[in-house]
Amino acid sequence: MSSQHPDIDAISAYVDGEAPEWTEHVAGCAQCREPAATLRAVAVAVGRPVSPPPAADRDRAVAAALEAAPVSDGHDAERARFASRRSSRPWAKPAVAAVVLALVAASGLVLSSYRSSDETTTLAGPPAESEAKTDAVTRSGGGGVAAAAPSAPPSDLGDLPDAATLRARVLGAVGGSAATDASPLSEANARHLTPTTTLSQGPAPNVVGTRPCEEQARTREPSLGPVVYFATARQGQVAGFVLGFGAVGSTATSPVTLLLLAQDDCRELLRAAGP
Amino acid sequence: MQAAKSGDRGALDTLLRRHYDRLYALCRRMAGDDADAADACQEALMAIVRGLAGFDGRAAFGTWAYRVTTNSCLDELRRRRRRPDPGLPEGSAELPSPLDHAESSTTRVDLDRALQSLPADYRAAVVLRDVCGLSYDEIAQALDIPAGTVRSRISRGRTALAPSLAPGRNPNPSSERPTST
Repeated sequence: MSSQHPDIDAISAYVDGEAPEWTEHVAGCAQCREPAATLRAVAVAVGRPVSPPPAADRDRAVAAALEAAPVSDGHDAERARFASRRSSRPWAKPAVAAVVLALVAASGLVLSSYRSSDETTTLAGPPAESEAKTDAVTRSGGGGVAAAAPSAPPSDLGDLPDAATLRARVLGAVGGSAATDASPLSEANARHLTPTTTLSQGPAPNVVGTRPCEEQARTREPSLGPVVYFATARQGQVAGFVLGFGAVGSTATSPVTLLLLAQDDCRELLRAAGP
Repeated sequence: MQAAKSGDRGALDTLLRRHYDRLYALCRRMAGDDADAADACQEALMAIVRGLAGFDGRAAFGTWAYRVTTNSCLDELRRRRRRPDPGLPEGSAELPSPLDHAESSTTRVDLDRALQSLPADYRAAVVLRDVCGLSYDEIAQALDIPAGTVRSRISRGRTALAPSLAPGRNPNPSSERPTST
């Protein structure tokens, strides 16, 4: 045992276990044990448990703190949450890869069958430019309509007794559910058109080749512009195709010519000025 | 923690609630009354949220949070010194708090009074040690002072508290005992 006594700071530190070198001395020295006991009593008194705060205070403080939180775009949080999920799910990567492969295979099958049927019903051969545009939009992740259209059947507008109904149904299909309809409008149309807007005049990127009756319509009316809309419909018992033609050299606000053409001989059943 | 740092409000909420009681205890002992403690703790949580992006993880989050909270308490005490003291209604010191389950109102008032008699820097060191259970190194980090200074502040603080909290006992009975160096 050291003959020298620790100073009061050392005894206080000894009480906290922060001065183990004095353990032996204090244990054998009554003169040091007394201040150690006093300081320990003080420490115990100070360390008495604090009454729990009211829950309302806690809620208020947390709410205020959350309000003061810097605004996050949410992506970081999502990424962090996803990262933590990933780390706890080692099977996730192979599973995701398998699902992606299955989807790619399935879409390939559907695409090839759609193109086959399209070629049998198309009167003219497929222009390479249109296909290239379709692929470009698809590759660039251009949106649901353009990507999904080749594998989706054209929407059916039902019975169209008159021109007003034709116009109204097209507007409804475009403005109401273009994105899920897979109705053959361009991606831009699908995204922006509402019943009060006009059809845009660019060629529909999902139109692969010409549409049924398109050529006959052009023969009759050479001023018709590119096809911007296509659907099926009927008039009574007569099945038909609905084609929306932009005007040549038209602007985004030019009206579209909507034609309902009989499927059997492409005769014109209805005509309406589009939106 | 990472989610909270990147702004996930759910994670932030969980983190703050998990630490609230401990931080409140620090505020309560530093401030000396419930209302100031609640204010200081709320300020502390806001400071934690604002500063979380800058928390580099070198210290434990708890230590860092104690540091932020201690600073919030010291700010609150400075503000309190600037505003006029309305004084306590007569007899209020003896009124038991319905929330006070952990100690009698008398010992609580004694302890509060004793702690308030200490300089704030000493009080912070003592409270971080005896209430929060931090090591001297962690207190040094939290208060941004050398560990030797922590040691002397705790010792002097306890010595000053002894007459109130350990009456009849003398922490320094030997006239030969050296004081701190």
